[in-house]
Amino acid sequence: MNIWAWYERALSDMTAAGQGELARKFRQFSNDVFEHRHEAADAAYPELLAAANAAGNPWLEVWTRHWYLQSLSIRHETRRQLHLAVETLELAHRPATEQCPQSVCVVQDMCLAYRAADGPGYAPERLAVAEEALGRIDPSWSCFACINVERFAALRDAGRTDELLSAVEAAYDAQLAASRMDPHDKARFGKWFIIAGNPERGLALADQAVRAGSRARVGDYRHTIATALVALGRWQEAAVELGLIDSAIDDDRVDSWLAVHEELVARGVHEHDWLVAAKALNECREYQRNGAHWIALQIADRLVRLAAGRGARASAEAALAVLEAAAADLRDPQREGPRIAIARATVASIPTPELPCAVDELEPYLSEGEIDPERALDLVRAARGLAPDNEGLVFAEGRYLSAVGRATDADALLWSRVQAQPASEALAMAFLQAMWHDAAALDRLADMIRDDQPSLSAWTRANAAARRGQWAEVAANCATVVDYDNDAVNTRRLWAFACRQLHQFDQELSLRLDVLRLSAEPVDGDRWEVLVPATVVERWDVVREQAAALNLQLESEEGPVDERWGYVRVSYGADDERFAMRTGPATAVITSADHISQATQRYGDRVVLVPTALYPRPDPCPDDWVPTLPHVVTTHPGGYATYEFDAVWPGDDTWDAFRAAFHADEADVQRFSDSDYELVDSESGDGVQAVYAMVVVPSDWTPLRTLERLRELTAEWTTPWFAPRLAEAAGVDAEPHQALARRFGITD
Amino acid sequence: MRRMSTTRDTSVDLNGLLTVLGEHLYSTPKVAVRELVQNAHDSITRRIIEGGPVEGPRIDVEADADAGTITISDNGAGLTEAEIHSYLATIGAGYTRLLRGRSDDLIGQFGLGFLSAFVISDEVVVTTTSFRTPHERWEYRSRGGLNYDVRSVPPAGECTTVVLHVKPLHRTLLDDQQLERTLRRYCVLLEHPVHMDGQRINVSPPWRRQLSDPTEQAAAELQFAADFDPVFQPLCTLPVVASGNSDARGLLWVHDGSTYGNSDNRSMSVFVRGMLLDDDATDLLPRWAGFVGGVVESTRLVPTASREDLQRNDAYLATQAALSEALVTGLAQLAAERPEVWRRITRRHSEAMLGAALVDDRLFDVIAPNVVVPTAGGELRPDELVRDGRVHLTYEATGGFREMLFAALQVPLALGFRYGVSGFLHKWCQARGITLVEVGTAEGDDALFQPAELDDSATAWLQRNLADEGEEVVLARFAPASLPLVRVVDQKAELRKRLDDDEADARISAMALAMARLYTDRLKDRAAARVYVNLDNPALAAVVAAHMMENPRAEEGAMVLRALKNVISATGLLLPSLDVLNAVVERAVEDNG
Repeated sequence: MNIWAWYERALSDMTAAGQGELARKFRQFSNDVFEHRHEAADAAYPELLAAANAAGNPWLEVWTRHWYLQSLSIRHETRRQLHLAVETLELAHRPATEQCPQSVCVVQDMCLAYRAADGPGYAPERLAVAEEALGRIDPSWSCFACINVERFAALRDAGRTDELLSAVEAAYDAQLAASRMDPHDKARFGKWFIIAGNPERGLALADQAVRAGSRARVGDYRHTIATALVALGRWQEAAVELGLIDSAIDDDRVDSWLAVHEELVARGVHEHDWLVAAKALNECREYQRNGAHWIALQIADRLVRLAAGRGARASAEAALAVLEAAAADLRDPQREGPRIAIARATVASIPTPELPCAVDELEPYLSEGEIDPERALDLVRAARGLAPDNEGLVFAEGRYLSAVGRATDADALLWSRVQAQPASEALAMAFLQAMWHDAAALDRLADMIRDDQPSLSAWTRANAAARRGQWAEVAANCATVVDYDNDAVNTRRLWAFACRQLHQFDQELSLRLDVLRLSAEPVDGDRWEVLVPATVVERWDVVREQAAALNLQLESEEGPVDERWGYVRVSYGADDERFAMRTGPATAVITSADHISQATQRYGDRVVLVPTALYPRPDPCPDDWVPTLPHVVTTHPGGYATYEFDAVWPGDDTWDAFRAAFHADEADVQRFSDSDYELVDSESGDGVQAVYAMVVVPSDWTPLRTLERLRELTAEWTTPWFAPRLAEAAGVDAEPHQALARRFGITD
Repeated sequence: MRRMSTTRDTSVDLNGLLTVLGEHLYSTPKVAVRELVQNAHDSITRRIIEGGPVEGPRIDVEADADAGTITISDNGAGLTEAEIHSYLATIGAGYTRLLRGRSDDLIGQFGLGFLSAFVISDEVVVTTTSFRTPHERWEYRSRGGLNYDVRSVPPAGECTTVVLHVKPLHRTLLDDQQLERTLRRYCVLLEHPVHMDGQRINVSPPWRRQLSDPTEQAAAELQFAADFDPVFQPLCTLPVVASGNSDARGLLWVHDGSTYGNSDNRSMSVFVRGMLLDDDATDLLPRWAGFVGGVVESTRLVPTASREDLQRNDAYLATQAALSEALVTGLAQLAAERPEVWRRITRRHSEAMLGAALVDDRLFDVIAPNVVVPTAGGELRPDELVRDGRVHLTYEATGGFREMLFAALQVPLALGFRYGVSGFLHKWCQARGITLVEVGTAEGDDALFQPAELDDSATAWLQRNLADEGEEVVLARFAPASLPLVRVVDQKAELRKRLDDDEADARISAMALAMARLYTDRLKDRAAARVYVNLDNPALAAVVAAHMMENPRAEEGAMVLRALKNVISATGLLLPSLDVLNAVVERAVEDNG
């Protein structure tokens, strides 16, 4: 049975209905999953799920969920997978979906999740489920191999390995007889032939898969070959096929890579160095975090042995911690007790290294010698055992933990020391610097040192709040810091920044002036910052004083600054910029009308700007470059309304006179089309030069007055114009305008 | 001077070979023109190597539609009579063997390119003078390539002319515009000048010359990209320079046309020694770069037998890595130095950028500050999404109750169902220790409401009067204050309920259901829905106060609120109308207080 036939039909229908792009996205999604581009699958999944929902196609929703479940399974995101699989199983067995062939696939998804969470723990249930599913399908279904693989895995995990080889052979023969054996299936069967004890056959199948299979999966297939070669005692060849751990990390098969690696290390073919250990440990922890406890447990177990094999105590302890955590999360937390006891004994047997020098001399010794960071870590730990309160050694341990790729352990160590010594400014500052980007971590620090270091606690809290954009909290905490340290400059800068976000410009000005006062040599940047609040609160004396200090030549000597400095762009946010005439160091008047929305009409607004350009001046700088300055606040709204205006081009002179007349009215006409703009006159079929413009009038002009003024000023025109929306707003008969709009092909 | 003609047989099964060439190796007959221009080019190079500088090296290509011919001339080394014979003689049975076996080794075999002439021609006439024997001129003539005549002809300068009498099937090649397009496509990077109808076809690409004025250099690069890309206008270019084990150099460009989602509009052309070998080498670019086109030249990349694809060897992998690096560093540089261009890129390709940011951490750092994220109220930069230390995300595709609520609160609500948004915001928030609230999930909804307290008896009274079966009243404070209560379904509890239902036994096979219940059994303590009661709401406060004062109308007020709860949940009642309803409840309670 072709279990994908309905899917191909659905996508063809989608394409025929004009949604070819969506159909392409569905196809790309399953390709991305199959070829392990999980980030791309993450990006597309919510969109496709929503699209399947919107299309009212529950089968497609089951399909989308199944492929995403495959992605989660491959990368061992077991916790998410388990919830989604159970949810999808229920969805896939409703009346609208129960006939969907992927309802069987979802059974596989659920089994896979339980296999990763605790293979042996759930083996009986998995076996029962797989056998039940096999009862619903036959070898012609393309999920036959998938469900069989779940059955094989359950048999192995249940300890029934003596039944495995015959089970694999029978399923393989049955699928072969159904003439459905693609390279990927061959590789899968090959893998299980190896596990079941027939590596020769497994090797042959994996070889065929490498030659004929998807290029993106060759890494997987070669890994299976390496497994077979190990089983056959062909160590050197296995090492060549196995490749580096990095590709195993990319393909999320560190567990099986490490199994082969351990064999090769034992035979002296592979080397287990600190870098491999660190990479494997990081993956192992991630699997454990994501709910793949059984996979994490097996990796951690190997890492303990491998670390012990080269006397790396710190690495062994880290692996043991994951092993214990994973065992505790199994269905029966006691089940792996014997294994843990062995691992603990293994770690205990690793000797603590003897220090090559006195504790105080260790750091120089390590920095001068070429010692691998894992060995250095063990030495520093040994030293810390002798001098537990030595802060320098804490920092050294943090550095070496980071060096072996365990940055989160370094952070955790620092945190544990902060907890132990909340009065240590050095520790708290080190943590603040390490975690400056992480608001949640800063909150923890602020809480921890609140009693012992209240000023630093408030500063930390202010930084955390700033990360979150909680400006009132930033201001309050900065005030606390200044209470403790009245000369704090940086604190005032952050506080002033918060005040600007809160539009507390008087307070901001006071703080900015404090910064200048407290700085031994005020920097220009701080002077520019003063200009903003001083302008908003109209302290022109301060503006002029700072402008002079910045060597800005102003035309007048007192009162408001209102000059013509040239054009700028004013940025109101991500996608909203307006042209403006800059009228002073931090002021501008908006000169461009918005032709989209009356709601955001800003023409004529007087605004205050951040006087430093949002983007640097390009080098070389084009002649037409205009700086972009962020908007701070609008001090005087322009009070203009705008209306669309279309016309056949009346000629340059006529247009100029028209504009001049509007300007005399203190209004404006802004042309949005260029000189190439043409409309097609449907009466003649000819293209005619045309203009699309906005009429900008004071908002106390009624639409009727605007329309009448337009009529007056165009009375002599020999070319037609039309403004249907304006006519509608004016309450006059809009049909003549609409008729012209239709004639020239302007439709909404 | 000899004027005799000799007819000789070609000692190979040319019919078979030509079929292989024409039908299997080459994707298009245009490649034959490429091969012959390449031969002409090699001939000039050979003459320079063997005989010193050539004055005005030049290749001319012309089509004569009336005569049905394409003529390719060059002033290269030319061939002696002996070379003509040995030239064809080298195409022995070995070629066939090579084609069957180690086909990749065919590349660079002298003469194969010439044979391609017979793929498109009935008759091929070559007139040539070797620079070694400038007083001799030879004409080679063959119909179909099975046998050929060679005869001496009067000298006419040191040049070689190949005249192809094009088969009727391939007459489209004779169209001037078609031929020019073919030459511009395949020969644009050849070193020696190629002319058609007197006009030079090939150029010196901008990466081979560095103009002193960077603006002019940028303009030249953009113009090259615009001329080269037949589909997309370039928005900007990024240089590719040799790095690591890759000698590839050239240009990448970002398309000006918008992409969305995972659109794949990658294009990549690879030139080897000046000749286009692969115009579909998109796999050299990372998959996330669906908005990028490019051209590189390399001497290390090895063509396959067809000379239209590349071997996947170490040089290929090195080029892949180098292009990925060029893209990431190039985009980073644009973001830092040409923000106006960068903003345009992020507008044109915002969805693709969000997806790309997930793939590459460095790219994430480049993209994150300036990319825009779609929200229920338009596009915003990530930092503009943060409200009170949180970013809010919804997966509801249609404007539901929550969208209305967030609009009322003026809190941006990112659209998690749009391409890349969810993954990007997860990563962005995690990097900053900011809470990402996934609205519509139990955890997300919990995070929306600030917990509050009342004494136990009031709490119990509210539970009795506001909650329906399976619901749990949760005391909270939240904006807008006009909203008295919100009912939020617990999806996990819903799932458990559906799987516990007897009907599930009929629908789902027993063992699978039992396994699913292993999971849902852990969820048994969860209420089916939570009713978040807003203590900041005046109507609710009035009802609670009435209850405290033992006002008998308190329960009636609560009944109205309970009814309102179901209406709000079911219909997404417009928030403004709540003010009226609140007033009704307040008055009802007060009138009788």
